[in-house]
Amino acid sequence: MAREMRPMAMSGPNETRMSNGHGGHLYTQTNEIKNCIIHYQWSANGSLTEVERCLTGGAGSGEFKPISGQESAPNAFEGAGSVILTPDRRFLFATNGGDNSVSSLRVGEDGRLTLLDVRPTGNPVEGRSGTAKSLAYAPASGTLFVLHSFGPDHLRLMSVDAEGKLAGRPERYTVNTHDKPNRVSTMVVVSPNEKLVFVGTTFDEPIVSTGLYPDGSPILWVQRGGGAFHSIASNAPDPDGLAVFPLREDGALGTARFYDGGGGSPFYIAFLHGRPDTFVIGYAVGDGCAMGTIEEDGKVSIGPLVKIDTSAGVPTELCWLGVSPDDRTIYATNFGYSNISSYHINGRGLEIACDPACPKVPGDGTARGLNGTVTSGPSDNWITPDGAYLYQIYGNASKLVGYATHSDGSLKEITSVKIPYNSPQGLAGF
Amino acid sequence: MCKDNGEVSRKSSEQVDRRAFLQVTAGAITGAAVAGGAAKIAAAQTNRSERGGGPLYMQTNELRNAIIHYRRDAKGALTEVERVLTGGAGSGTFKPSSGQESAPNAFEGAGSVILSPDRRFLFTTNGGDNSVSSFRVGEDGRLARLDVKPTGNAVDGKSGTAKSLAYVPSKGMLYVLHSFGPDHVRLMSVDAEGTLTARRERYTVNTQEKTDRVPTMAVLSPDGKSLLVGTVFDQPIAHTGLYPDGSPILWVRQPDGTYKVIASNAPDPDGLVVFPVRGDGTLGAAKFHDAKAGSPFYIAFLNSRPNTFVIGYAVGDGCALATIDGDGKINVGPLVKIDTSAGLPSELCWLAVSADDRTVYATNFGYSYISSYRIDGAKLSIAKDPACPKVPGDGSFRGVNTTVTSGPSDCWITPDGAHLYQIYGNASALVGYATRPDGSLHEITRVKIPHNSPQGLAGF
Repeated sequence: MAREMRPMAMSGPNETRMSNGHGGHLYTQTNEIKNCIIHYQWSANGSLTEVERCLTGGAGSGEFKPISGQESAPNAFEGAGSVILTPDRRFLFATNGGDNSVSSLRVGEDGRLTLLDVRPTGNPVEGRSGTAKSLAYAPASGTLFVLHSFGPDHLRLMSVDAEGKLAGRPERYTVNTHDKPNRVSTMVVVSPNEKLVFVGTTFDEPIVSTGLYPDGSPILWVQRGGGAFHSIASNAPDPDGLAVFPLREDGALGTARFYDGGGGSPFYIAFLHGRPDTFVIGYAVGDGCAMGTIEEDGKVSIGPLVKIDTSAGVPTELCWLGVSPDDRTIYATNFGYSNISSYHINGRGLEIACDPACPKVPGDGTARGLNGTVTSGPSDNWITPDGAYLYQIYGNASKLVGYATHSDGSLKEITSVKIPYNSPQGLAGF
Repeated sequence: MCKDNGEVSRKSSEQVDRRAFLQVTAGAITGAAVAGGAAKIAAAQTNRSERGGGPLYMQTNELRNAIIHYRRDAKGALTEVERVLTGGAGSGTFKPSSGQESAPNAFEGAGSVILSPDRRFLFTTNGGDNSVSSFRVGEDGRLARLDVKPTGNAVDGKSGTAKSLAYVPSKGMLYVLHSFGPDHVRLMSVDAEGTLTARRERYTVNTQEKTDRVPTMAVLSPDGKSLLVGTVFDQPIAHTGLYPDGSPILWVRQPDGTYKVIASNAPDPDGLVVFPVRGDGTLGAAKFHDAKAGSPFYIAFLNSRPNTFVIGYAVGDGCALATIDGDGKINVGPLVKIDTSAGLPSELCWLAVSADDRTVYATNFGYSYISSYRIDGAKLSIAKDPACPKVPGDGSFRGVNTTVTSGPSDCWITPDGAHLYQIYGNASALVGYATRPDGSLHEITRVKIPHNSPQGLAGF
């Protein structure tokens, strides 16, 4: 669906951003055992109307959370980007984390979906669920990168043909290191110039391996050689939390380089729209965001971490980011706080805009974040191409909430629709 | 007039034969009025209180420890009257129980400042040097220091840990509780003039398997037959240590590979310790009771049901009603939790019971506010949670649940139940509230106090 972009109206310091006038389409996956994509129409005023539910042909994990072993909890895979659209909006891809498969769907002119293919990622399912959870697509080579929570083969590749058919490839890549054979990655992102593939990480050891204390709280510190305590959070402080692979023309990857992510658990990587060498990282344990750049020689450098207010407990589990189309505002979803904070990008720097940017959305009281507070477990968010609206999954509240964005960085709730409990993940649209 | 130079005032025109007074009132810990000067003093003080005001005392726990004496008026406003050096040392801002250089609630304790039932004497711990000070309380509430004596426990490291007091006037016995053992409880004799004499008896709340426990407070049952001691940790954070990010190590790996929380009574059924009090004031063998929830921190007896008390649980995150019979047998009722959505544990610790026994105020160290409960017969229920807004601190301190807190600790409710005062150490504030029938609290006054260190509230 081709659309004309209209400039945003911002006549005052706290103006609501102007909608494009006709709305568009929004997709999320339920991650239910019989996984499906819910297709919503978002209107000019931001309201959501469900259009259809389209089975993916694959399995989600349901309410089960493979990362922690919890029977029912939001953010099943500690991941992001499980539903993506091709840049030409012809195809939609979704992971099926329950059975380690990927589905491709054709996107019609009216936004309606038609299932085209479902293929295994190549990683076997061990135990109750697989962990496929994040996708990135390189159009030049028709390569789809499929990230799994658990390794060693965190990253698998698929080829996508002109009709959207998928073919598994033999390549497999890891974000483990010699000393860390059990890392948990978060999301895979292809740089805008298609020369690098970024992978974020959250844990050097998953909670499902470290276990729970008798009261049900997770074991976050483990003793390593010599008995010294070490956090299971990645890059805390070992300087190896951001994995960057060179991307070859055929879609295969070169040897990973491990960078200091600049903070604990560099979870999310979001490139800016108008500055293709610049990205923002959201840190689940670092409790803030930082800007990073790709230098001319392909090396990555990370700027200073800008923390949100952590007085309500640590870690915040600030994870998912939404970047406004004008690259001026970043929305950061705080899993542990049931809310969203916003940043402004001024010049080359980040600064807090509104913290929080919206009120907490309460869940049903059954989920707690790593900081011990009760949370509704917000996960993926998505901002409309006109920057007027932001949509946020609150899994434990069974809600997908829509907000109107304001130029000061605040968010005003305008709509909310009921979604399945805990399991949903992934948001993409146009 | 207070003497800060160590000179002890031992005589006054109000002086009476204290020993005789105690003998007459043996067993009557609630302080029935009797003939004599002491009764006159109490009567005069009561009259002042009935007029709607009275004195309030708090220790600064500074290195040169002092009692701050406030005058509270009929509207609840506080005016500082005097600061009287105790002659002993506090821990300052240092927190011995965790090893933190500066933190509120230094000793994880309660009841460090107490008044004798007849209001003639005020006693305070000096946690820095393990000593106790006694003061004479004048008719006008002014303090005159009488004595300072070591508890008998040596100071290891930067600070001692004496922190909680209980007094039985009929036996002239003062019980002094320390955070660290093995000799958690030491005894002092108090003579008729308020002079202290350390005794050689020593008692522990350790068990054979738990040699490093941290008790919280010592409380005498109203019948004087039992000394109850609460606990918070089976091992102190100062000994388990901190993770590299500064957060406390709360779970300790056992030889069999399992983990055990350092909180007491979680779930080992031994967190509430009861010593029988003998005729001479010494203690018999301790019995360890299941308090039914984690870290039974505070014990508060009701005013008119002397066999009934409320327990505040730092890790259990709520309160329970309990009873004690004449043999020291304990029966603990169901735990009633507060809202813990802001994180765990709440560190609900200090309690204040209204004069009519209808309302209990519970101070949540980890949440920077107070919650209230309603007592209806044998039933405890939430009244207001929270009962007042958070009081923010300076942002430098986090509770065990990792939230930033102002570290509220001891609270005290006026005899008429009209006002409640709360220490917020990390906010350098002593806040006064007006109590309301629905259990809520309305802030009416606030005075500046030293940063982090203050503890203990007593008054009339």
